[in-house]
Amino acid sequence: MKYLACGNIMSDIVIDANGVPGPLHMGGPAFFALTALRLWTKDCKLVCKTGADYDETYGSWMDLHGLSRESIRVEADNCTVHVLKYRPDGLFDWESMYGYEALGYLITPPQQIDEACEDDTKGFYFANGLDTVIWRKIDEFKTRRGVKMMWEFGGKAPDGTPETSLKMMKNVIHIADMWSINSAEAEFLFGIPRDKDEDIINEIMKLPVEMTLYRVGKRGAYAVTPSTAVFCESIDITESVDPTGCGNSSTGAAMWAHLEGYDPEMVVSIANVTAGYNAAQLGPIPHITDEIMKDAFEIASQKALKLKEGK
Amino acid sequence: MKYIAAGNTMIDNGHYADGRRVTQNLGGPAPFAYSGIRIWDDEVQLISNVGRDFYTIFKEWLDKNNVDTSGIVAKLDTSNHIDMYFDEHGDVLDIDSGTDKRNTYLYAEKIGYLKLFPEELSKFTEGKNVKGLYMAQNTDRLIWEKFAEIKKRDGFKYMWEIEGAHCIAKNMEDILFALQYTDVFSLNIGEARNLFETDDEDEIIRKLKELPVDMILFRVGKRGLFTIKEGKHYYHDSIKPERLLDPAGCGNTSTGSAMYSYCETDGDPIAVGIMANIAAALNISYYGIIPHMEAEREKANAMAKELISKYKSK
Repeated sequence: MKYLACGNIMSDIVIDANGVPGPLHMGGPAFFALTALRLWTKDCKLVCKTGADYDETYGSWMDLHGLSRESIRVEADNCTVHVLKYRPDGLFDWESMYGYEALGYLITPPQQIDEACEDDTKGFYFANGLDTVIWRKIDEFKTRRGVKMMWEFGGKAPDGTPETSLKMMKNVIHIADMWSINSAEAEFLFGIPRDKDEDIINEIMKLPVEMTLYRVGKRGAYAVTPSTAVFCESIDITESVDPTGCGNSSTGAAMWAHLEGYDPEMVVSIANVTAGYNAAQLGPIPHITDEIMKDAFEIASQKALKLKEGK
Repeated sequence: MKYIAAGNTMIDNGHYADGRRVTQNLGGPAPFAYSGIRIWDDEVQLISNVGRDFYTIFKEWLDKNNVDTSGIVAKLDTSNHIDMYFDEHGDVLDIDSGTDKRNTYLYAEKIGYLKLFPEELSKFTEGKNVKGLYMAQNTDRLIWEKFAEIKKRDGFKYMWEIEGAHCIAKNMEDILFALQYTDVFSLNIGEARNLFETDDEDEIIRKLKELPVDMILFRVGKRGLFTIKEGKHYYHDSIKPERLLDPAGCGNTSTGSAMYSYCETDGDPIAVGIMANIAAALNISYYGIIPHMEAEREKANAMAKELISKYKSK
């Protein structure tokens, strides 16, 4: 497969303020990235460790979209589930149904991504922290295989400080080819208020990556290269229902667009169209038909054209 | 290697009731169990996933004891570091990773990432004539199914120390499933109370006798332990240690020792109980792990010989 979505899959259950539980929703960074890739290409697969019960939740969606399960490793009884309990004030508490130790057990190690790569693999999406042992292993197989990586930033340095986190990020970012970060993470790392887009982008442009998707929440996103930054406001496909996974899905889509050779206007348009489709319902896009794929491409193309015209 | 101690490694900061605080002790079930075997025999291997800081922090201990590190794999920058708080009786009050919820879950997630997968263990048992294996484990059936295949293939005896959080009544069916593949089952009094939902020790022992496993090591804290076999139970009063410094890991160390003696004595419940207590008494005499295990062997053997003989002549 040309494109891989690697990492955790995690379901969630929302319990409302009255204590009424909703249905189980599919999710997790790698799964949202997979749904995004599938919106643009059929040449993609999921790479993860999960529980034996994943099939009950994810199986029919995977089959509906003709997706391979060859790189899914079943390593425990249960797929990770998070329970989000909303309080009357609108905030929520959350916990992992099977515990965080079980979640850690199911984290995708670099070796699994290495094994999942094939001769035609161009790139993989991976939400990852700053651990250098993991990065060295990624570097080794990336170099050997000649594949590119989209790193969705996550985690802090062991001491939790922005200074060390920034230092550690700078030590490993050259290993990634593409990078994705949101405004809260950028504020933490660079110590620049999140509304100062220009200053943050200035820092991002200094980094040794080909392309960064800088996500600024509801406002939209930037595609940033060492020489340019293109902003695209968020795109609603229909009414926005649930933003969960929009960052993961837009990141996965941006990787596909960049590696397919599209310019930054098209990359950021594709990222935002994907987020728009993702936000249109609870959980992932339910059925990505060929028609939806065509529509998505058309919407993104028109948006990219407008961005170019607006320059 | 004849014996394997496998599973989690921790680096413990000990906080004691009298105000003492000791940092960076080697701990975790697998290293403690390793020490519990190594005091009797050099033919034991430690299999564990760690952070690369492990090698620098414990270089002296690894060198001094000539520890085979081929099964100790660095998967992250840092190992599992934890703070253990003890009360005045030496019982663990709390195991902490900070009060921030995010830290707590990241800590647990990291422990999960460093857990040993059955296939990682398999490499060290296949065709190696392993006689006995210790590993603290939870009750996940899929993991047990994979483990059962390895055990069937390689034919070793297995000592299961159940992970405390999983030793609860609602997991009884899963525990019974796992016991099919267990030769000796080790649990402490708190875990037994949670499992059978009673504080009555006699009732606990009655219920333990009903479990389908060859032997049980039932640890009752400072008082010592019981070995249970073929419907009979044997009480073993704890052995007075030379020093009372650090109770961390006494359960793991005694359990590792019990695995060794179970294999070496054809499951003699008296020898198993006494040798487990000797290991615990040695462990508590030091901060963290026993610093030079081979140096304890002569003394431990002499003590075991004397105490076993005394117990049997009663």
